[in-house]
Amino acid sequence: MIRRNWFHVLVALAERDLHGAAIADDVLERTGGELRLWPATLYRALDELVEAGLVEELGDDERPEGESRRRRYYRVTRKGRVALAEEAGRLEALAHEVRARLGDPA
Amino acid sequence: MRRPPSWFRALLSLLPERFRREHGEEICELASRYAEGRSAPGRALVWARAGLDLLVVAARGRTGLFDGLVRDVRYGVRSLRRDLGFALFAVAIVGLGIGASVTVFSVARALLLRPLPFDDPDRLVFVSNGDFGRGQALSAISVQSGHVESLRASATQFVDVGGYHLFDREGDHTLHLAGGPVRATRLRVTDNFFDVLGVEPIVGRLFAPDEVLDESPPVILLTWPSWQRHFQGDPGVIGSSVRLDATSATVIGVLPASFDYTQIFAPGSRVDYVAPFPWSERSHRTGNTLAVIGRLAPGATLASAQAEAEAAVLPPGERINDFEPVVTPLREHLSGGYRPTVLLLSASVVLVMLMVCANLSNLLLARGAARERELSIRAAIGAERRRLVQQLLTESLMLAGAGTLLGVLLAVNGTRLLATLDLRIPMLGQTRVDATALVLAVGAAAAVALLFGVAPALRGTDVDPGESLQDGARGSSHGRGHSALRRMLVVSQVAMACLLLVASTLTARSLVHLTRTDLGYEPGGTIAMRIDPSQRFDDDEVRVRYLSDVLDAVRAAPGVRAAGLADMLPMAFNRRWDARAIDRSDERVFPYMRLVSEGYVEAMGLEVVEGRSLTADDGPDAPSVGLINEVLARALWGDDSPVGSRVRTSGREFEVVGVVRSTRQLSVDQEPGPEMFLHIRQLADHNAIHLIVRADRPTEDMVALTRAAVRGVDGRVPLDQVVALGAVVDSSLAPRRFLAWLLGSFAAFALALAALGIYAVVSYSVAQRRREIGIRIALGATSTLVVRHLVRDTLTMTALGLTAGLGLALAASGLIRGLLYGVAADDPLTLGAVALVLLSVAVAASWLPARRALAVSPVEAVSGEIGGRG
Repeated sequence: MIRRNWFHVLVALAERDLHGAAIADDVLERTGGELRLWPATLYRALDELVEAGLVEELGDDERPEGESRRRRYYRVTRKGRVALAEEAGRLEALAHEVRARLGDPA
Repeated sequence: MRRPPSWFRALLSLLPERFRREHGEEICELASRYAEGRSAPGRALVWARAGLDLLVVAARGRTGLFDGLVRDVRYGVRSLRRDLGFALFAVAIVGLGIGASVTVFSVARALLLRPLPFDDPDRLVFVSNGDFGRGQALSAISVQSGHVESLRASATQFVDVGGYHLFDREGDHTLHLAGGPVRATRLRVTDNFFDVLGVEPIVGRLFAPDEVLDESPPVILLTWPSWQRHFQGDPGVIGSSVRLDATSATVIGVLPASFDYTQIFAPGSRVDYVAPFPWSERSHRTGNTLAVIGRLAPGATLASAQAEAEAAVLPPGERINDFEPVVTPLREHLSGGYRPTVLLLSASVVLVMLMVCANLSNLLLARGAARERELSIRAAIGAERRRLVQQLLTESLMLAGAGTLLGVLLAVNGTRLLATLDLRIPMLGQTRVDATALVLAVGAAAAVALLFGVAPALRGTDVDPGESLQDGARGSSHGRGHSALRRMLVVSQVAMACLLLVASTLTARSLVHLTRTDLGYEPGGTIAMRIDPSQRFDDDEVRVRYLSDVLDAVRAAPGVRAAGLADMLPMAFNRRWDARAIDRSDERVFPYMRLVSEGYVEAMGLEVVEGRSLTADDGPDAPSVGLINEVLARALWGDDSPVGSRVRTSGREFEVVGVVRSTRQLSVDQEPGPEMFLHIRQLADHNAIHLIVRADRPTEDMVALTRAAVRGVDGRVPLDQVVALGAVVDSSLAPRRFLAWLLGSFAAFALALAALGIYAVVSYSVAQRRREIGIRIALGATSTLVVRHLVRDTLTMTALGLTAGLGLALAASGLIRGLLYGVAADDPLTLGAVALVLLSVAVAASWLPARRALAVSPVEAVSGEIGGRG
């Protein structure tokens, strides 16, 4: 099971490489305003994800064109994708179990 | 994008170095983005939330201290949650104590400490007129303008001397705006008044020399509130002409919001515009008009300024009124009179705070004793004592922190409430909880937590695991040390509660004396309202006829017993003129002067002790007549009858036709001064008039009836300022009532804390001595004996506390003496009553737990002991 903050950051990065503020925007939007990642928490989570090898920081030559060097960009690693996929499977199984208990045929 | 607040940037430095370097800028950027597009409070909330987040991350990133702290806090939260009642109570008393302290400190700061909002305010002085005595008499602080001009001309010790006109009354003028006419209040000042204070207009300019002559076309400055209210803050109003009364005036500037004249010089009133008061012969002739403010020259002292002011007094031939200058620092003049009250309140909150500390300490000690086993177990499994102490201190810091939060919340609301009360105390309206007060609160709380947490923490952790665990529930040897300390705390609490009770009882008794004071007139059942015929009728004769019609109409209304007119109401406004008894002596006196009509004496409930009252026949063509009060009669005629004698005042002679009982003109607590009543029909020196009506009806009916009668005579004469005279008297007592109320609540709080302290100690001692009590009962001691023993113990502590408290109360009586009325600071009845109350409370507080001791069954107590070993 992945920590909630890690999970949402990974989901944001699954589609494309982003900088911190863009990740926060994505999470806020996707959760319908429910989850606002406060700045220090967000960057600490990113640091931890990098340390755990789930996310890597883009090198200078890999940044999108026209972007200044001021912002750091992040990308999900292969290990990160695997972890995210595992989590998705777990959630799926969990959702399935919940539906079964509720007697919902879907 | 907005920049992050500086405190947020400062917080960044708490983050680990590398993390900050790599992400600091982006953290600020993201927080700014969250804050964007919100209202100011919303932005503040977002920054606070982001700051908190930053703190949490910073704390987690550090090892050692922070790690331990986080663990201690978690443990503390758990442990306090288990003991929620204790935690809530501790937070509540710390909150109340801090709330009261911060509120009183904020008041002290506003009244006595914070600099006045003027340029270099410490060099400003007030020059009052000693001849008229001190106090609230307006003439006592005003000076004839010629004296001031003379002082200005010769000034070397003053940079400059200016003044404001004291007798501009509220709503005396009419400002004609696009939306219709509004009542406006004027303030007249000398041309240099704002230069003396160092106040600059925020828009436009101050008066020019050619605008401050008698014949200059009128120019005015707007005050900030009036500019906002009447002109919506439009700068375009500068240079425009506004209709003011029957003329037009040019607006030349707007005064800054910081120049809050009413808050500083005339609390409870308001000013809409400022007009120049010329330095002219005509101004001089109007008598005592100016309140004088000067700015001391560099190097000048109060004494040198005083000497210079005395030398500048005009010689007798050139003056109407005497001038005996008394130079005092401006702040002293404005709020110095409130110093004793503020000091008393400060001393009281210090006591309250000390009691809170004692109580908290007591609670923590009791808790420590109760947790002995828990701590022993932790020590037995290897916890260092240092860690245990740190743990307990963290808990007391948490309690203090939550208490501070509550206290600051209370103080913010308390000061806000205070500022809205109409107590007419200068600068009280500007009371705010500011940064200094907050620092004080946090410092006090931290000190409380550490000082009063340390002793219980040290004691609580001073455990020998082996002994304590074996010893079971019974207190071991240091249990006795506990109770000695707790007893001392109780004794000191009783002493402090005693002090507060004495102070509040004395204040309350003063208030009772005052409300029962004979004012000399009967304010109940009387209302007054102001009518202004001068707005409608230019002609004196028409105006007098209008007033007669109004009186006739009102007197004809059902239930009305009497109706009269006066140019000012007692305790609301006053004025003194000089007067001399012709053929009696050359001695001049300065009676309060009121212009009244027939019916005034009856409507106010004054008593004519000699001669007759004024009648409608004392018209403009009849001989000029007046009434005097007993004080004036005694001052000028001694034991002789003044009726039929003549008095010269205001350049005319009046025959004294009657003597009335003296009334308290200024306030309930000031003795009556000399007073004279002239007939309004004979002296048309007035604009607005107060109509005073006495009737056998409830106030609302009386107001409605009177209003209808006045409107019936002429619907277009302005009518305002409707008051019940009882309310006017009441508001003169408002500050005292407020003080009594505050001290009363402090005392009640203190009494409750003392009672709780006693209760806790006795309960504890009963719990500790269950076995002993059980054995005693088993050995045949009667229940009475056991209870008596416990109660006697309490009475000893209370007696010790009372002795100390009463001794201190006598020693500190100087602090309160000046604030009392009709009761001495060492009043034996008060002291006795307080002692009795405290003793009864102490007995009651010890009786309840002592009764519990009786429920102890000998078998259970002793066998419980054996069971405890098992």
